[in-house]
Amino acid sequence: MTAKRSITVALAGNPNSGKTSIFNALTGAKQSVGNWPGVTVEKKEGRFNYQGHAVTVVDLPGTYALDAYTLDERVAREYLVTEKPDAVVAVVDASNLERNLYLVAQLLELGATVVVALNMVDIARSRGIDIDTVRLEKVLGVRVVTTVASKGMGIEALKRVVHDIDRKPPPRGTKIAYGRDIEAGIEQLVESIVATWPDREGQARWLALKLLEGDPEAEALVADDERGTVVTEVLEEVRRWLGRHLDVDLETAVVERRYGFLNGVARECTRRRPSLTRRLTVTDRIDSVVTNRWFGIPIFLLLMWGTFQLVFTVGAPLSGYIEQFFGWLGGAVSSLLASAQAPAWLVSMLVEGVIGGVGSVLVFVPNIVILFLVISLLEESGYMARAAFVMDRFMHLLGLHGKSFIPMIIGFGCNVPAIMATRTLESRKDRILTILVNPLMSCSARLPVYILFAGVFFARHRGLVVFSLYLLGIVLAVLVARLFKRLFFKSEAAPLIMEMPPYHLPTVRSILVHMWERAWLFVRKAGTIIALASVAIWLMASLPWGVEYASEASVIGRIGGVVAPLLKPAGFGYWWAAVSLTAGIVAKEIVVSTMGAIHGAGPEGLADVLSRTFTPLSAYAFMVMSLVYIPCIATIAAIKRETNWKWAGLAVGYTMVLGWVLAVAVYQVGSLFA
Amino acid sequence: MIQDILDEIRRGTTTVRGLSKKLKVEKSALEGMLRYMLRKGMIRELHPECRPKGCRGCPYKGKCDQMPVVGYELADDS
Repeated sequence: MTAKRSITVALAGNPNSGKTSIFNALTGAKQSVGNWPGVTVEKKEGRFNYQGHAVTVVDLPGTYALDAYTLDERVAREYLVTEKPDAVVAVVDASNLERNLYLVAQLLELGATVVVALNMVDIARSRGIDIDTVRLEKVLGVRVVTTVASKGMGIEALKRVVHDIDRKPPPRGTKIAYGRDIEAGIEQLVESIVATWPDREGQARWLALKLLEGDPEAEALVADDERGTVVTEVLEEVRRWLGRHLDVDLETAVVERRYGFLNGVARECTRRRPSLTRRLTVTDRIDSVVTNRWFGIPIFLLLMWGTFQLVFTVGAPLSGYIEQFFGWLGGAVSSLLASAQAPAWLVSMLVEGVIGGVGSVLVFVPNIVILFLVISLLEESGYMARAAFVMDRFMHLLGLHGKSFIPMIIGFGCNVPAIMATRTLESRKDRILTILVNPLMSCSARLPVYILFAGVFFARHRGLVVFSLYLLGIVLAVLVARLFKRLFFKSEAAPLIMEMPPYHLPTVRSILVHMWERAWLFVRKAGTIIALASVAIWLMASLPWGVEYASEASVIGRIGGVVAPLLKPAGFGYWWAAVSLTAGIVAKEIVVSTMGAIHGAGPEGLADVLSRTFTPLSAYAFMVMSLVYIPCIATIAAIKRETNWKWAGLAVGYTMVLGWVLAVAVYQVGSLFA
Repeated sequence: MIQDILDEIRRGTTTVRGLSKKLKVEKSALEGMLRYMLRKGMIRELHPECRPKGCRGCPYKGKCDQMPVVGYELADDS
């Protein structure tokens, strides 16, 4: 064969396979840039001379396949089909051989003369992957040149192989065997294609495959030519026949067998050095422990427990300073108003109502900040995705949707966004179910109740007690979901494939922003809803005028007196406890602020009142009640918005009953052992 | 291969990495198969939840389609 004076080579490859580096290394400065005809996709051409022959290199857009589903794929395919370059250099990332070979397989099917530039072999070797290039050449029926384009390695060899294309044509590319059934169909189609368009003989197999895959452009090519009627008839017949013989649709069958072949090629030509392939990345190492079937859930629980320990050990001294500040502020405001001869009711309202109420909630800001610091650390580092994964297994055992755990984790912060996050669940049944159980996830607004009671009654084990409440919330959510699933929604949960992001160190800024957003939300609530509620509670505790402040004779005392008997079996049948829980429906923080406003003594005095009235057992029952009973108004509104009044009503009803039953059960059963 | 992926998903939740190990398929090749399955409507992509405060401060503000994929789930008819 006589060598041509000039040859044209197309450069194809997956994105990030190093194609541009190869193009630059081959052509150097001899490049021209334009657009592919009719589209705004950049077209680069370059030239190099080798032993007196000019070689033009056309850089095709980076694609994973030639399926014509993206603009880049269409541009690349159009060029290869119409321009028929002398050869195609397929740049293959050696460290991702199997995936990159998919494009090579399609190039071979297209009938192109393919030279594989096995690029980034250095990276592959560093990962313990050795590729047997001789075997790869044999199996694929192509020339293979190893390159490290970034270092200029293998470029001369590639130039030589490309230059020799005419004189030493590479072996005929291997034909992927698609199985007897599909091959029979391909054969019939090839015959009709060649008979109809003799000039398409070289691409007949490719066209047949594309027609079987239902490729719209291939179908249009046949349909637009009146001679294509015969091919269309054969295609219909083949499709009907294969449709009866295949378990899956024809396109999937073709793609599946192509992937199967390439999986075999990759296995046959790749040798993995265990010493290096076992060298795990940091992410792999951490994941092997934290997502372990046996250790995953205990580690998640341990992290939760550690979080609450931290919330207390670091938060308590800081809370002490805020407590002292509000004590001082109450005294200062009282003295100031007294010296200004302000009326006694105003002093009482500001000191006992506003400062007592708001102050009793704001002392927990350090705890909230620390909680969100840890949660954002876990989220930003990538751990939360693992937590969802390990808990997903557990949830599936109970017939729940794995994705439901993600909104549940969000529920630790606030139930309202968590309920909104269920929008990502496509199934309406799963969405409603997840929404219904979300209020059982202990939001940060309940934390002040836990911190106050656990601090007073379980000082030595307060972290453990709070941890047990969070855990109880999860367990209850799972059990209630299981029950509702049986009662209302009888469908199986769909499993998932989860993509785990690599672990990374979160930036200080992102952590601080997240922490600030949450803390500010809490402080703003204290300054608005909680302050208003505190004034309302103060007013009700002061009316009718002349009655002793916050006595049983006050309006609030009478309201509490009606509800209190219901709470007696739970061990806290006090009117003010009943009022606090009732007021807490507005916002859960108000449970504590109401107690603060009623007792008007700030957290320190409140602790005294609590230790005189509650026992550890009734305190725990109260915390359980606070965890479970009726969601706050914002959450009820969110449930209604995402579902309807029926489901919102059910959420209110079941949490009220469940909260009471559990609180009574804790107290009564506990009393048997106390 | 694609049928194997569907079977494995039906068996229970897994990770892309775990699936690649189980099926002895290169992770990037598996991702290619998942792309195909997405296009065919066999599976659906899952993206991170939107922030409670909406787009404000979100790194993907105005480019929701570029949000990272956090997983895939079977389509209803798969």
